[in-house]
Amino acid sequence: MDLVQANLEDLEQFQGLLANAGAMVQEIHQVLGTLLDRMSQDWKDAEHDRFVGAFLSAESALGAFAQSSETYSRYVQRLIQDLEEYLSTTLRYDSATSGAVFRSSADWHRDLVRRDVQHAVGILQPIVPNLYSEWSSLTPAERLEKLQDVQSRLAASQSRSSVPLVSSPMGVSDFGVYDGRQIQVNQDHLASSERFWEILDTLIHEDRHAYQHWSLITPGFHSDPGQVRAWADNWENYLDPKEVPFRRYRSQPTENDAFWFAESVVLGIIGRNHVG
Amino acid sequence: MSDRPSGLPLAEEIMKRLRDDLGYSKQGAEAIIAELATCRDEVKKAFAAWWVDGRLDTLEVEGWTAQKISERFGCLPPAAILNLDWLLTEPIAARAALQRGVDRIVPEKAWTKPPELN
Repeated sequence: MDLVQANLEDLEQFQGLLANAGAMVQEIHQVLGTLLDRMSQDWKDAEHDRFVGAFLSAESALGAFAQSSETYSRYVQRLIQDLEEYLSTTLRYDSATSGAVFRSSADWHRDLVRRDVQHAVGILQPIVPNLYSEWSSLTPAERLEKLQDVQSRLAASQSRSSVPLVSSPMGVSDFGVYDGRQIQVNQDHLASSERFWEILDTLIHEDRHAYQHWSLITPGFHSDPGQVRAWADNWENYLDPKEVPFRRYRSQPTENDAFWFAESVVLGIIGRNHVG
Repeated sequence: MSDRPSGLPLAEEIMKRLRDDLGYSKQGAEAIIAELATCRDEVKKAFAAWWVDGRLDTLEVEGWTAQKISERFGCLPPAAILNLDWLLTEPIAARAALQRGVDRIVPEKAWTKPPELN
């Protein structure tokens, strides 16, 4: 199981135990060492010598374990914090872990999108956990390169062309832009090692706009012509979030689809189901 | 300012001011008028207060005022005020959305031909 798919409560419990494990192991080792020193005054046979040999060779292994447990405890703690941060920005999600299929719905659009979501989760699931674990050690330029690879894989899996990905200066609440030629992501978000899930969501969201665009200029590409007409009409009458309340901005056809799609894919990657 | 029971100006007055003074798109102004028709009374009052004297701090919901929303997200005043209605009616969803921030598509360029299939 990928760690990013673990239940958050399980992760928290594991992290709590791991944080103490190294210290506990070292403490027991020290107590045993002290007792062994005392025992050595009376215990002087061949078994004693063998035990001391085993004890000393265990010492270095236990030290390495204590160090590793501290490192991984910090990693899991960061993962928990990052996931909680991301989940607080999603509108609806089922806290149950993965394995279940998406909830059934009479909504034809949503049923089609669910297929797209499952496909995208299948493409990204093998690469995202490794990307997350190396994220903090990458430079912004390297992160951009990795995200471009994610976008290219998504596009190729849907037989459409990839689009260039660039980072641009934006306001603190602006996450991304799709302008018909390229995807822009917020350069400050890219520079932060703590916004992995947000920026992954943004990339998938903007790529969904690229998918919508491709559908508009490629008849038959998207299998629901009614939805394509709604996107086309919305593209001509797009509601900018500076002008209208967020509820209306998010409920327009292009944004509703992109928000739902991106959140569902990220939630799918971390083993949760989108509800709604 | 009209003396209509809602305390709101006429739709035509709102359309004109939003378009002429704030540079609203037609669809954006229409959306504001539609939202005003269905929002809570306290939000209508907040809109009326802004209309008369430009104040954006007369209503606070979940720690947010229209002033704060406008500063944080760069929203124009009518949009900032009407975001308070979402915070009143669906606070969990609205808080999540405010935390998430926004993205944009740029419609006028979106119709250009995309790069060739790789």
